[in-house]
Amino acid sequence: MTPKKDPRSTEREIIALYQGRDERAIQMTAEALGGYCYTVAYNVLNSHEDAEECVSDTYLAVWNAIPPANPVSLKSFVSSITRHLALNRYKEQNRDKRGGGQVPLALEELAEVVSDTEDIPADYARKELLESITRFLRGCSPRDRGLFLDRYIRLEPTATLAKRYRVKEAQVHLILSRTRKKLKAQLEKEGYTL
Amino acid sequence: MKAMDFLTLLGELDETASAPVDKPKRHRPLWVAAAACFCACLLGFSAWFFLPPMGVFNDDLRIVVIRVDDRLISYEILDTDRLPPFERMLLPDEAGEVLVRHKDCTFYRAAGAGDLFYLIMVDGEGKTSVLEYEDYVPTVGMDMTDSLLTENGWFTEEDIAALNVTASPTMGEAWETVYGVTSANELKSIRFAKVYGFEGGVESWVRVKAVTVRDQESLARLYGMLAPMIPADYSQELDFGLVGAHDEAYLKGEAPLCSQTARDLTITLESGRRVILTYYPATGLVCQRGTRFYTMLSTADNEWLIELAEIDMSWKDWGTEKDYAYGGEGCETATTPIIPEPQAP
Repeated sequence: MTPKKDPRSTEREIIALYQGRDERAIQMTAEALGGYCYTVAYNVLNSHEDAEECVSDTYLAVWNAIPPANPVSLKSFVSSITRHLALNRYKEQNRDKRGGGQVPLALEELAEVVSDTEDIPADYARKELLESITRFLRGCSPRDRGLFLDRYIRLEPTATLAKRYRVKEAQVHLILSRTRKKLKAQLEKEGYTL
Repeated sequence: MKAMDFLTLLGELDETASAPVDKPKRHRPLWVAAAACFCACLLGFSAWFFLPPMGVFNDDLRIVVIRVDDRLISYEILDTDRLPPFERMLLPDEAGEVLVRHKDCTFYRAAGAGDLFYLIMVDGEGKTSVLEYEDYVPTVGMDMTDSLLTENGWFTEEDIAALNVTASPTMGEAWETVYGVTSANELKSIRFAKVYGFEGGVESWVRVKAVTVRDQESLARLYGMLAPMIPADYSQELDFGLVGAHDEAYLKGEAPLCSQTARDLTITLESGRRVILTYYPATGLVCQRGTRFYTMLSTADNEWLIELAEIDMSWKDWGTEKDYAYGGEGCETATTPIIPEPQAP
């Protein structure tokens, strides 16, 4: 019997440093995930300075969150914090106008799915809605699901997605459009009018 | 609902939970279904017995610290739930001689192994676990009494009194105890390659030349350099020379990316075990896969190692994060030639 080391061990080592309140955890997070976080923040904010500040804020937020948090995937945990902070910063900066970056484009695309009312679902309904979206994505092909998540969670430009998925950019738009329509139909079928 | 609220909501999606599931198959005649069911049961039973189970596992990092003579060694508890039931049944047979017996736990050497890389732990409830070496813990300058007594229930005041608190363990001492390595003759090769983990953004575009060293003279010098190294003090300021793609020094062409210069050193031993270290040539820092940092190499040793590993310390243009955000056009126009990784001999 030869047990093998888990490939996620580096992430777990960093988490262990956070748990031990060892400040080298931040350095190592920056080393391993700094570029990725920057890209996530830059896709939202479209500004080098803002993205850098957002990444710095992320490190502090992660430092404050672990412990007690003990994420299974450090990468997902850190990127979701970056995304959240970047979107908050974007909202602050663009209360009355729409700025650059991928957010306005993604918002235009998602406007097809929602009705643009002020209604925000209550917490319990929010959870159910997320479960419905998760069910819907499970039923999609890996490619369509990957494109949807990369576009609307990581806010990646369609040109980047076209290269990654080896399709033309127009096809990316077409697939995303079909997925959004299917999602809207599915949600309406389940009684949601967003 | 506003589009922005919906976009924010999508950020809460659990990406792993949205992985696709198999679609239902169309109906088949009853006898085909029965035969398939029988075969599936047979295969399922075999798989249950011989293949690792699938599903959700506990990914918590579980570390235990034990005392070996006057030193402390930490081990990671491997998730034996991932082992096939057949191998799990055989686990108790993997235990060799008793290494150390604490209050409620007994730690055994792995049967037939001449080193301490893997251990077998049998806890107070009789559960058998496999441990994998994680770190050789320095005891100098750190008061670990409280944490040892509270987090590792098997430690006693006598265990703590037995620890050597006057001299730090060298890397050579750790290798001797854990891997059974006492000289350079037990080193088979050293491979220098891109550091695992530099995979985000521009870092993923960086290509480095992987070099494998096998000549005894170089191996002997390397062993001579690494073996006496002692762990860096926690209070010591460590300079990794970390330069990322959005650092000014890189953007101005003054310093190369850390992902271009740093290397993972995979030291293959004659026993077949592998020791993995990370080397930061910009400052001469060596660390053991992010868990233990060692004092810096001397300037002469650092320069020799840079030459040996054929590390290009000059600035190269790998594009910027902005290029990455725009889809990588910057990478395509970068002037740096991409060095293909040589095939393993």
